[in-house]
Amino acid sequence: MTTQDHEHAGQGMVDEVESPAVGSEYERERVPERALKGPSSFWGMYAGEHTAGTEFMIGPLFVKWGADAFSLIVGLLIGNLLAVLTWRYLTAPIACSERLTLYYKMEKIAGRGLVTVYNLANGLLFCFLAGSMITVSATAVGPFFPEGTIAMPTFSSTMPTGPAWIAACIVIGAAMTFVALKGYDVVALVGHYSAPWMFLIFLACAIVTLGKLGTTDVWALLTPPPGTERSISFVGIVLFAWFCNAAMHIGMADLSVLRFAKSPSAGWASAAGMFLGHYVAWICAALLLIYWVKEKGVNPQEGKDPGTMVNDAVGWAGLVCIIIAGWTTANPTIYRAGLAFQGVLPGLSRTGATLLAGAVCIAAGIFPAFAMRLLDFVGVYGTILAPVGGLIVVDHFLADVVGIDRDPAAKSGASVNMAVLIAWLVPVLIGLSMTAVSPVNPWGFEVPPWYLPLPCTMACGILYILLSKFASGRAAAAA
Amino acid sequence: MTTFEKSPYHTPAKVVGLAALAGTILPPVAFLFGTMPLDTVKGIMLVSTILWFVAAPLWMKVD
Repeated sequence: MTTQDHEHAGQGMVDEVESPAVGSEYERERVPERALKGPSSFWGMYAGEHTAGTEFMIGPLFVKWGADAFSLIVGLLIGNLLAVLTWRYLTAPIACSERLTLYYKMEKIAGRGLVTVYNLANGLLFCFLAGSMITVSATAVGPFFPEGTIAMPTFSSTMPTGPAWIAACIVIGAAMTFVALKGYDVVALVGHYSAPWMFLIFLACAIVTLGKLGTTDVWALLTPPPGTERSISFVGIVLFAWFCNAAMHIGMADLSVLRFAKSPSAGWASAAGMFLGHYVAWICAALLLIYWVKEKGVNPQEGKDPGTMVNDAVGWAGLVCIIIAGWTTANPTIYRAGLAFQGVLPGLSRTGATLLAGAVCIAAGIFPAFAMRLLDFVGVYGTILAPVGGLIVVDHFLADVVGIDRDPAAKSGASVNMAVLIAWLVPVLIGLSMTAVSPVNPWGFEVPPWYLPLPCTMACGILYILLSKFASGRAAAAA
Repeated sequence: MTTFEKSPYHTPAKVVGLAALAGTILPPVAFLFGTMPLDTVKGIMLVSTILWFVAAPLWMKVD
């Protein structure tokens, strides 16, 4: 999936969000004309960012959930197209008009205090995301050792599988953290150089798998056997593909990237990430598990670790791909999580903050639960962060129409805009309480988390308008 | 950032890089059509991977 590993345009999935302190360029001013970049900068970046190690988890998870061929081939196509259109016609126009980072724009609307809260939420979610990448990368270590040395987790694993697994996660996580301490220019370059090769490795896995299965009928292979219970519908697949990067498009995290674009047409570049990483790569990864189910009798509910499957298909080149894909996406994520923590705890040094973030990521990576419930996690991630985009859409397009102030916190000097806080928290808390990840669900039904980013974002925008009108009415009455 | 347009290594690196990409995807296709054993596919892909990471930094432009 995509992690939010954006630095800025021109640097090569994560998949993720630019922190106020990252990229030190034009953080608190409009990007000037001379710094704008052409579309080619964005195509490569999106292609690289959205082909990550976690793609090896998502395809097989669809198989586990009994997704049918039509949902995978057509549903993913539609969902990814909707994501691209959201980038092109919502995120990019705002980015090219405002030319500010998400953080600075949010500070103008919500106040600096709330940006800190956003940073904390972002930092913690980054850690869990990076943790799942460490988990996936650790599965690539197993095949280098004699069989059985490292017990590999399955879809049902939530706890560490043993001391060797823990050691593998610690070594990989520590290496990632160490590199993050040095900054991540080198990693960004490796990510940039890896992108075309990495995509071909995904494709190679699928082609070899077809060869092993002796067929090229992908539709038939993706059709689950009769009697398979379907845990995800066609609509669910469409919404998952659309909103697995909700924080970036409707959540406006990519303002930080696309503000460097010469024109909103740069938003089309997201198609490279969506259709290579979130379409072809997911289907290729799904085929890997289908082979193991059909030919080796693996229970699709238990799955098989990516390292073993990829090694069986294409050998060490595939293992290198898993490790690099995890590394190039987890490393910037750890770095950014460190920055987010530093924003919350200003007394913490950059080194201390990155070490703290790395430790949280390693702890998350040791527990396979995050990677094995990746679909739920990215839904929760989008549900929490995407509503911020609703505020920005209202501020940019609707504030003058509905008669509320633009950039209210910048005008009033407030550290916390209460209208924003309430408008953000209420939909998110109600939405999350409907999901399986909530410890308390008073609704009597469950909603998959990836259904929630759009309604929560819209509710956040509407509530923000109502509360801002109410607050301005009270202020006028008091005056 | 740095570009490698004028590097004397640019053209050879481009040739090696493209060959490495071909070496990553063509052997699996050959396996699919039954003309290459899987062990050979894996070997060629590993060599191609090494060649790619040698060639790409000398060839690919980073804006």
